[in-house]
Amino acid sequence: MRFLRIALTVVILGFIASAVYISALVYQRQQALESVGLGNVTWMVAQAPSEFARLQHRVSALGLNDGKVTPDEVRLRFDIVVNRIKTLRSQSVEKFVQSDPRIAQILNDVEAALNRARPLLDQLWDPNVPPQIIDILEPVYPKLVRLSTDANVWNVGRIDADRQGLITLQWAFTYVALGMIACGCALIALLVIHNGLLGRAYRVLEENERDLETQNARFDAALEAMSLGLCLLDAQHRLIVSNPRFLEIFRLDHASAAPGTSIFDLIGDELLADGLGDASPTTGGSDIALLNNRIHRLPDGTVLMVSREPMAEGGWVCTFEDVTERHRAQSRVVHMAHHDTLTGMPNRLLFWENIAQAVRGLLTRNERFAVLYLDLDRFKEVNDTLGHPIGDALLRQVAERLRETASPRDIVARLGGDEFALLHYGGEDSIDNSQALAQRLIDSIERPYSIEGNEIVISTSVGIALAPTDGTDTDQLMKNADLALYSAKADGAGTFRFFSPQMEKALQNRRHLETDLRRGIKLGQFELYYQPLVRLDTGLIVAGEALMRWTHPDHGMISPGEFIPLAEETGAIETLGEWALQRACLDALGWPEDVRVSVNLSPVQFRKPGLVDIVKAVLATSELNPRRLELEITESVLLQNNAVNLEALHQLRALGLTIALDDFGTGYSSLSYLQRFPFDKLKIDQSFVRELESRPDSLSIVQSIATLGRNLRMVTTAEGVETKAQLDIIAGANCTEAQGYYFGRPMPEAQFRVLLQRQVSDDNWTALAGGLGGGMQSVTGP
Amino acid sequence: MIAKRVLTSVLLLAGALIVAPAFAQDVPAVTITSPSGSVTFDRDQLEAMGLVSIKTHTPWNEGLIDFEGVPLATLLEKADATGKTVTVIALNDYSVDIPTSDFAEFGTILAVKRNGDYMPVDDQGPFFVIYPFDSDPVLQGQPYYGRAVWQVKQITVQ
Repeated sequence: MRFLRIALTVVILGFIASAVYISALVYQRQQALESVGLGNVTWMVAQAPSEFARLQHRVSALGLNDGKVTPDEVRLRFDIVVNRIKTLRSQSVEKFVQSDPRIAQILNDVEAALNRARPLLDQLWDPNVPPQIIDILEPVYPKLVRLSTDANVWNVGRIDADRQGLITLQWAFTYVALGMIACGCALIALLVIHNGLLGRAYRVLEENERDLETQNARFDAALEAMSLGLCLLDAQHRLIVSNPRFLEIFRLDHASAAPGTSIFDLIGDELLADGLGDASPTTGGSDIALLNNRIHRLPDGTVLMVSREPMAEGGWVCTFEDVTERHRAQSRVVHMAHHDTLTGMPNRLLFWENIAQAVRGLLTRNERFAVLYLDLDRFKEVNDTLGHPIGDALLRQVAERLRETASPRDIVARLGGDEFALLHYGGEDSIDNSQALAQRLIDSIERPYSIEGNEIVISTSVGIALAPTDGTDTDQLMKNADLALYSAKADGAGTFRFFSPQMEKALQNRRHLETDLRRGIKLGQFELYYQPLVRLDTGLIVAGEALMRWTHPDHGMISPGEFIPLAEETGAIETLGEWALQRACLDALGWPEDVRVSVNLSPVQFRKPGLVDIVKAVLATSELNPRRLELEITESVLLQNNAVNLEALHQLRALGLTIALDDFGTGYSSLSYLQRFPFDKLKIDQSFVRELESRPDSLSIVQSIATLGRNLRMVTTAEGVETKAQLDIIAGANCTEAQGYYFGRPMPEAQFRVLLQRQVSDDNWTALAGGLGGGMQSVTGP
Repeated sequence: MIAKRVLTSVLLLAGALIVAPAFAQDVPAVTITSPSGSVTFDRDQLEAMGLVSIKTHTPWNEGLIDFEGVPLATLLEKADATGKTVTVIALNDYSVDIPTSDFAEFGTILAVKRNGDYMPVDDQGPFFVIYPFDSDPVLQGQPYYGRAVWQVKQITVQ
């Protein structure tokens, strides 16, 4: 293209040069032609001989003196000749004269002759004069003729030269014309090429335009199909372009949203307000901030996420996303994160936040409040026996009652499982109010429930922590309320307790006890005591129930009622239980063959697999006849994890040992248990035996159980027999065995062994006589 | 009236010619003939008609020459001669035809004086047809150089 331009310029310059040159040639030719026209030298010269001849003739005629010619006429002719010679001296003939020195010589000769003749002109009247003049003029004439001939020759030569010049010019003209034709051809060629290039450029342009059109069509399609509402605004917030979704969201038509319309005429200005990004949430603090950042709620309920980004060339790109569904889902998630799905109550997280809020209110407005911590007593049993759906229904009803009982301002939350909590604003009389509320709650919960035909009675315990007395931060208040609850439960179901610093102390003690317990196992601070079981028909001791005793180095003897639950909670029971089993089996080896050993198994021991293996291993190492081992379980083993535990019991029984159900008659004592597992023995709870004398129904129960046992071929053991009267009744009720202080308190193994030896050596010895080894009864009971 | 007086003059002149040869005359003259008759003006009469100056170069003189003379248009008017062409005849009987349109177009004069002096016969006199050659390049060449007749003795109007 650049080359082409240069070439074009060169060709055009060539044209101009040619044109200038041709002009110059034409001018030159004009000049040449001019000189041809000028050169009438021949004529000028040719007249001289004739004029001269006429002078000669006049002079001759005068000489004849015939009167026809006057001297004046001679003088006139002379003057004419003189004028002619002068003319030949003039510039018009100059070139010719200068062409040959001979010509100048001729002119000189002519002039000389004329000058010689001139004086004679005044004496023309003298007849001698004319002949003289003729003599003078005579030789001049041939010279003039010669001059004429020379002029002719010179003129012909000049014409020839002029013609030659013209021919040269003609050629030059021809060449230049040819050059111009060549330039013209080159110009045409260049123009053709140029046109070709232009054509190509045009095609490229066309192609680009088509591409652009395609691109535009694609963009349009993309805009149409977009699920986002989109509009482009100029710097003055006037609409440049918008898509159908935008119109749909704001319920606009094409006409009203024509390009150039101010966006604020179409949608609310708050939608595009500056600083939109950090706008405060539009709804409560429970919403997730991310969602609210650019969220706007339209009057029709649509929730939009708006984005406004500046464009590089000024103006804005705005997008509007309909996030109504997402927002709803998100809100639901937020609600779910803060609420308990079962009861719809605030959950632990939200309750924690509420307490934190209450703490802030306490600090700023000195507003007192109380935290009440509740859980249901023995709820687990309901769940286990009646099933989860019933349990859940119960929880819902409990929640309902809690809400009804609490004041509207109080916040009731379910913390999980059967744990509930209340945030109660008690005002100045916080203690009294809280106490009253706790009692109302307990009373309310204790009213019987009727769920799917089941009448359920359940109680609750409440722990109360007061702010600011019992703490001024959330964790502390919750912990203290929990401690108070623990304390309340320890004091029995259906009670409430305020937190007191002693509770914390008690907790610490418990922790120390835990440590001591573990150390105690290692250091052998535990030992087994045995309490005799007496067969009523023979009066002989048939078995000894192993009972754990712990002698603490600092605190002395510690009650099993204190350390067994602790061991169960901490899991130490596993080690302790295994030790007890081992010890008992080894101890029994030293007893008579017909005396069995009875060992209690904690429900906790069933939680971990491997109990059967442990028992098997203990039997194997001790080589005790399995028939001599009896394991006592409580019904809670059957309540929890039913199938697995049942399987374990079957496996244990398959080892050849016997299984006894302890504390029968309390708790649920569902008869279905007896159906589910073939127990070898039922141990009737001591509470029935103790009340035998005062409550007639206790006897009936004992009798019924004894009859039941006999019919099911199970041994029945009455526990807690303390008097002869109780023994008689038991015996009358046809129980198989009895156990209790009447026969002997739990005693060290050595003592128990002595007792057995006495029984073997003394044939008439019978435990039924009571008061076995009275001196040994000082040992602390179970 | 004018024609009658001219005629008288011509007759007088003719008489004078008879008495003394024309050549002996001190004042040169020019004769203008036309179908309507012939009239001769001597140099004094010509001068009386009012002289016009043309300053120009000629091929036959050196330098810029100041010619003074009677415009030929005026002369023909004075002679009461009209026609398309005039034939100018010189003393040596050289003659040339000039279209009368030249006179109006170029202001051609019949020069009487050259640089303030009368011109003798031996030097382009007594009368010289002069075009203003310098004023127009068209005039600088033939046929105008040919029409510039010197030693004019007679003008015939056709």
